[in-house]
Amino acid sequence: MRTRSPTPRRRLAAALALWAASLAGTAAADEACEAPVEVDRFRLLRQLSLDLRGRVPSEAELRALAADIEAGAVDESLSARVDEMIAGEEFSALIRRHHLDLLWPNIDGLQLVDPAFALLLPARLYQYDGVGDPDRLFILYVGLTQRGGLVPCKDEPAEWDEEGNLVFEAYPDGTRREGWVKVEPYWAPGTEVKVCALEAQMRPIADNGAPCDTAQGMFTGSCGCGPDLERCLSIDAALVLIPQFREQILRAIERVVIERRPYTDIFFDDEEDLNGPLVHYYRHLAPMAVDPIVQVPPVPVDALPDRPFTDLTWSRHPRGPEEHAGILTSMSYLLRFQTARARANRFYTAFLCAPFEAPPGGLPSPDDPCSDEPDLRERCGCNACHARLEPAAAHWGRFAEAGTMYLDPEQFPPFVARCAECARSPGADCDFICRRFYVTEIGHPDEAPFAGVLKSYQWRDEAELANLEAGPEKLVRAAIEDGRLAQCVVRKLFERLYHREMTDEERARDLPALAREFHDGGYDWAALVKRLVTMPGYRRMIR
Amino acid sequence: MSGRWWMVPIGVLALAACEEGAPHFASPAGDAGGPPVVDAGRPDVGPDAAVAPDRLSRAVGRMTVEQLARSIPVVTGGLRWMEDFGNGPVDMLQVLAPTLGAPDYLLVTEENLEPGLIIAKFLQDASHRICARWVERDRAAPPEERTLVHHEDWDSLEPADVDRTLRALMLRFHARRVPEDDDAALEPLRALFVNASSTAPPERAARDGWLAVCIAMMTDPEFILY
Repeated sequence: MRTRSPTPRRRLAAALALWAASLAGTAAADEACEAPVEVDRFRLLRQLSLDLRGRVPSEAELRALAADIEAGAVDESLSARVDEMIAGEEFSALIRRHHLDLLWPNIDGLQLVDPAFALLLPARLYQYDGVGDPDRLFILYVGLTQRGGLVPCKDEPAEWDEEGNLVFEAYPDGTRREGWVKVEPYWAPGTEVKVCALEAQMRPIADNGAPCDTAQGMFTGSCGCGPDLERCLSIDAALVLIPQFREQILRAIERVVIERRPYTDIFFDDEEDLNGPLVHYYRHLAPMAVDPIVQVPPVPVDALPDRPFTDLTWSRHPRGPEEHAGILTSMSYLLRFQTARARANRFYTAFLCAPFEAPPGGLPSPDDPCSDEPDLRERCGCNACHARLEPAAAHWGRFAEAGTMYLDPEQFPPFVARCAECARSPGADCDFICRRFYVTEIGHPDEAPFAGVLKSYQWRDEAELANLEAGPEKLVRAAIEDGRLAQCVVRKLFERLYHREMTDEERARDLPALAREFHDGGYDWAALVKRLVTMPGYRRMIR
Repeated sequence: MSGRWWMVPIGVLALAACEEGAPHFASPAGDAGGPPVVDAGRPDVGPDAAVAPDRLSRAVGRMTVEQLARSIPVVTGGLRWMEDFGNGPVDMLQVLAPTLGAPDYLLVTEENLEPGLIIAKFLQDASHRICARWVERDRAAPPEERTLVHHEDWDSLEPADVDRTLRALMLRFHARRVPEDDDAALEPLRALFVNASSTAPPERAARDGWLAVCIAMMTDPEFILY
């Protein structure tokens, strides 16, 4: 069938006009840009391929479409092509990119281990004096506590005396330094790295009597990194480990979509994916993580599989506490959004399309007496958001802020008397648990009743306490029941596939029906994708 | 389910009340109502047919850096923009991704998809490097392995040969299918090929011609917009 296309000259002119309009924004160009056109099947295939697979179609695919047109089989072929793309491996490109844009899973700047006592650094990175092998590995606190300065060992093989004690050489700068040993590290079996002998120790108990698989023990610098350096993290190991957290959360979503399960399962899944690096982190490194505080990984240590760090294959494992809520309590999500308010805010923005925004006109002056109100629900200006944000944030109240640790009610009850006493004793030095998790600083008379109360319980009313005890799943279920989740999922996908937000008219006219379909269809996200790209509007392009 | 047994009957009640308490979605008219429509018997209207402005439509958008990275190899038969600055080959798209606005989800959480000057400059640079390599690689390949030129004699300047390849490249780069009886659509690129090839030394005529065409097509907004 013969098709007529605009002449190349007009098309190039139109393209140049479009380009120029995007830069200059003239009125005449605006007028030309608003007239929609309907793309032909080849351009439609290109759109579909870019949206669903993240790349243009191949020449072979386009020729196959031409052949189908000649054979009169186009209607079926396009629908079949959409199904084929959705069923193909490359559909993950859309799933992943969409959810990267929703969840922002970057934790690159975080310290998964304490750099002072558990991060193996090459000598060149810290006060390197230019002497010796710059790649020999050491730990800052070991230098500080054992060598007398933030220095590595000397670049010579280590020696021991007749009693088996390391031999140190005194240096003019007042430090003392031992030699190095070669160790086969857990992150690179079959190879050896040069490690300072003190760091290569495998002591089970530190000088202060604390176990060497705890932060308290490792903090002394007297423990060493253990067998194969398992208690420590090198930069090479970190480069392998850190991307696994992003991969973990993406796999959790990808699986639900690919298996055509209800999209809402991403919030209810009680299992998580693990591979070798994550197992190693959960078993050896997480228990020592204090800032951010991890301590207890989502999958209990005694339930972890026996997987070497280098094993990158994935397997599924049940998580511990019931209050977990799929991706909303994943390591990646909790580490990326480190306060309960941030976690709630991201959920509201990404999945309810209801971001928290400051009221028009801004906030009152901090010098205004009304700004002195300690309860943000009541504080002038702040209450515009916090009246909703605080109840929402309460759902994450049992997950530590600046960390991921689940605050087991048996270990972290709502009230601790000693923390209350400490709070009421001016100048008292409260212990770490009280300072970190309980209200110990009273800056306003209204805060006094909360002395010794678990911080996440402060200011909570009965309804918020119920949210806190139930966890984020309760928030999700409410959003499912009232339709907000379905509507927002549709809106977000529409924005991606149609390159624009829905207009007010479309939100009123089209969105409810699409959301209903999504709900009635069992929250099949892939089916929603197909629905949106097979609507006639997808083929109409505003230029 | 310690401590939450009370949620079970509440959950059951919620399910039982599902009909009554089910999400309320109004039932409007418009494109979203009814079964999906996919070219229901309508003839192929061809590219860019005008439609009424009041119906739901899609806006033109720019490829993301990621889509560009995945598409260039498809179009060029596997080539990427690779450079070696002395420490081994690097993928320039990966190196330049932050500059081009690709999000890192820490400092940049949303990719700016405006077809601005930075992406235009990048495509200009990329096309010069990639097209030059594509031309040389294609010319050295046997006919059955070529991805750029589609005729037997690679150096042929015969109009029929050139047109055949131009049609293939328009389909490949822009998904523009130009019928066999439509020569006018090829005129700008044909003119470009002729100008470039005729001003080159004879031994480079075809190479310069196809190099110019490749660069023109890769830097055309039609490539990066969809």
